[in-house]
Amino acid sequence: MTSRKLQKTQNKAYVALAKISRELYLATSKAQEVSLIAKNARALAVRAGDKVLGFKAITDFIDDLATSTIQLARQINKQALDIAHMAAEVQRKEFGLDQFQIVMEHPEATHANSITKVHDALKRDVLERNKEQRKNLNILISNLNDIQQEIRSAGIIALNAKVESAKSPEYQASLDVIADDILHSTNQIKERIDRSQSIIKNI
Amino acid sequence: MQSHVLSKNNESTWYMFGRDPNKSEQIIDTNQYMVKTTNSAFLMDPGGIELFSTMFAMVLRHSPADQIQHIFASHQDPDIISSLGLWDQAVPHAKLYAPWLWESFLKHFGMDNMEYVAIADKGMTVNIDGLSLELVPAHYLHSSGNFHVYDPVHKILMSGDIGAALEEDDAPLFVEDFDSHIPKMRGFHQRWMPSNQAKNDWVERVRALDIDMMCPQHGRVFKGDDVGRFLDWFEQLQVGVTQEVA
Repeated sequence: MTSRKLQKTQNKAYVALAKISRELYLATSKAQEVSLIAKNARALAVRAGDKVLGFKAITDFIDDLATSTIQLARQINKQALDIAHMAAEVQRKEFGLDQFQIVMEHPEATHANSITKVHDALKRDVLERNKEQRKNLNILISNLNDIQQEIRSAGIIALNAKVESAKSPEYQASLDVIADDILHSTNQIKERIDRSQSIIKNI
Repeated sequence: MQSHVLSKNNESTWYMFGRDPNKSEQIIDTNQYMVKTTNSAFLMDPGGIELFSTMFAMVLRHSPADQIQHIFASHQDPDIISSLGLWDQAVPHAKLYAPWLWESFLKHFGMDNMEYVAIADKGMTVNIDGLSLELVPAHYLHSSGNFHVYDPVHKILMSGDIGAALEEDDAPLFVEDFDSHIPKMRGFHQRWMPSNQAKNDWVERVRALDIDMMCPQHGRVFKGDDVGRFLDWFEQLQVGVTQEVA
């Protein structure tokens, strides 16, 4: 790949990673909402006592899942920002490489061969960094898959919560609202992660 | 970009680079300067990122890269030194001489390799292959941390934005008729130079130097009696004027 093509790839990379960071920030906010809903649900379940034991177990699980999602999303967000920082750095070096190439081909640059060593070292550095970046992107993809898996589980469990709520007619309306809220929020998180995965595929 | 020899003796040569016909019309034309000794080169205000490749090619016409050991930035403006990140990669062994005031600001242009030599407010002397260059204070002209370069051997003062003129990119190299040159300088100096006190201090300091040539970063070079004419004109000029003046 020529330096100019690499540069375009880097341009795309750090813009894409900034977008992913935004999606993950929004997903984290939603996960915080889920955690709050789950905590409220737990309080309601405590009041309802034995009648909603199944529902309580589910909300406990969802709260744990939301906490772990928040942590993972934050971790991935940091990774995305680190990779974006690196992409900007590589882009700067690739721009330098392009400039050196122009200088080396310039008819007036009598001493052009005096920059061959610096040019070659920079080229090696850029290739190394690109390799490392690809590796980091693969880790990011894998972490996004993990978070997506967790959110899918949360969605399924939220559906179960609706089944459980039907067993307690006295609390069904309140429990249904909670289950719907959790389902709605987990779907939104899922959308954010879907978008992140789709963005990363295009880098 | 054109390259001109301004002064030459057996030990050193002053070059001026500028008047680039291929430069984008959207950026201001700039003059870059270099003193080349037998084994070393001192590059002054090497310019913006847009003209890096041309400027570097022109420098390599006169010097191998390993001899570019000193880069000087009179102040922090983009047309002075936004190419820093590229020079840092091209000549990582070089030292950057720049005002102490701007150190943490200039590093935003990217500086991982070169050594930053922070010039104290009172200035300093740099020795290159036995040639002593004086970094002369020019604070608030126009930047709050600003220096010029004086070479007592070639009697040249690189005067940064002082003496700058806004005119066509293909303007002659030297001022030919001082009076007709004044309108090209007046507005620039009145607007860009913020302090009459700083201006007068500088004029007094520079009058004490023996100068044959005064080389600004934009426009034409002053030589001979035009240097004194410029100092007289600048001394009486009221600066720090914001209304339309040209």
